[in-house]
Amino acid sequence: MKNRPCSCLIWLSALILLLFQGSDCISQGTELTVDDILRNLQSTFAEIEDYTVMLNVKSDIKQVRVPQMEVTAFFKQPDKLHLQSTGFAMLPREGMFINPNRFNREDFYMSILGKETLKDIETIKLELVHRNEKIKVRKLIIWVDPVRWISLKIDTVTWQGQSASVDFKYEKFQDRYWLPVKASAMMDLTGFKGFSRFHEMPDWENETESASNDRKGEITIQFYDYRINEGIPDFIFEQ
Amino acid sequence: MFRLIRLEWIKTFNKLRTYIGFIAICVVLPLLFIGLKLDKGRFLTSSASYNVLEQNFHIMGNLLNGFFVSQLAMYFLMVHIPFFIVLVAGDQIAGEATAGTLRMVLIRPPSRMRIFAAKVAISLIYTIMMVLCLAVLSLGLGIILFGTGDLLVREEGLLILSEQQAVCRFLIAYPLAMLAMGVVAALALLLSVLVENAIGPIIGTMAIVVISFIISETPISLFVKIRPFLFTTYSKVWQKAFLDPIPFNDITISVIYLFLYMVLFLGAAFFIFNRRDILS
Repeated sequence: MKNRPCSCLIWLSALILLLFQGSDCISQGTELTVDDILRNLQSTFAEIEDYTVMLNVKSDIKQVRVPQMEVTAFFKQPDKLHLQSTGFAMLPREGMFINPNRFNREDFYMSILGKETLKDIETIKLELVHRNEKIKVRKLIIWVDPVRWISLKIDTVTWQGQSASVDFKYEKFQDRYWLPVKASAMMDLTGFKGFSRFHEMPDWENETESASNDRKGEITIQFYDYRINEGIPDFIFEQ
Repeated sequence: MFRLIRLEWIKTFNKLRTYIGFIAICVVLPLLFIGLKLDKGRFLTSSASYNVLEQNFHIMGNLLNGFFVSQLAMYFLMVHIPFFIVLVAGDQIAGEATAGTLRMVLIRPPSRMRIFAAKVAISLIYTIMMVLCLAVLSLGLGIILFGTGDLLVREEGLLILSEQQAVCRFLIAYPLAMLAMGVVAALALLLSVLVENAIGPIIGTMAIVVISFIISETPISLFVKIRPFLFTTYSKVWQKAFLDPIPFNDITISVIYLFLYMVLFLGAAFFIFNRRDILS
């Protein structure tokens, strides 16, 4: 009888310990790793075998004045991309056509920066830093929606210091595929000096803040007329 | 009057030197374009700014097209075309004086004013023909060799004009270039009435054009103050046709100045020609 409170205490301690361990196990089970995130992004993306989409591109950068552009984009798994335009067109190279198949451990060091709420959606912030000099971007930060497994925002920094921040708006197509319908890319074209007139040397030395700001601006891309999984012949990508 | 112009036309186009300009354009343009074709656009894509763009953007479309090379030809050749114009305009009166035919021409019934007007007309027609030759050959050959496409305008930053805009801009630029070259022809005529040797007006006009051009282009504060008084400051007006939006106010001011210079040079030339004792 004398030992009863003591044994109760031992049992209670054991129970508490078990509970703590159990909760730790549960929390460890729900915590996503980089590999989990990549796997989910890639498997969601893999559902789309190919697509064709029309893009309407508007540039609002003071030093990059181009008319409104129409581009047709063709994509086919795993990483075939072809862009076609009748006239001149320019589309942000990084971040515009997100292909999670490109995110691999051979090319990038990856880490989770934490969670961040973006447009009322709790996202996981994933950082990818190059580990391969062939990669054109120095760093990528991707805001991943952990429910739909899509990238809501992507920031890129190139080797030359130019940066882009692309925000996406998605819509569901064929009741199944989440694809972007609008992308707004904030660009900073540091280092872009323009095409000087033939006999006039631009005033590089006296770079003003306003001139620097003139190279920052927004490129807005509307995606429309999606054709998903209709099959695209390979020769399109050989052009 | 038309008969006088016709006679001046015959006299002008019977001289070999009249064709030097056309021959030069017909030789230089194909050379330039073939060079650009063989260069495969490296001329354009090797610039640091193009590299920055290419690192950041997927670039589509044909930038090295007929419109771009025609604009390039304008930039290159508009500096040299005055020389060919001066060869003809500077010879109009001084050439006749050298040949000893001026006195004979002036003793015929047509007044000095009409004779002078015919010489002005033929000088301006020749100027227009020279710029037209550049326009037709550069656009024609450029489009055949490079096709069409949006026009990349080389100015600070990147400016792309659509094909339709490019055509409109050329339609504005070439007449403006004709006007600018017309002032050179008027200056050559002015110097042509002053001397009796055809070489003088040619070299004199070119010297004035080159010196004025240097003053107009060199960023020295002393020169900046002189610039507004030089016609070469306004003779680049055709380049403004490629800006966006088109600076119509600047163009109008330049056009007015160029007209004033032309009237001034021709007025002075006529005044001297009308009062001058023709001894040869």
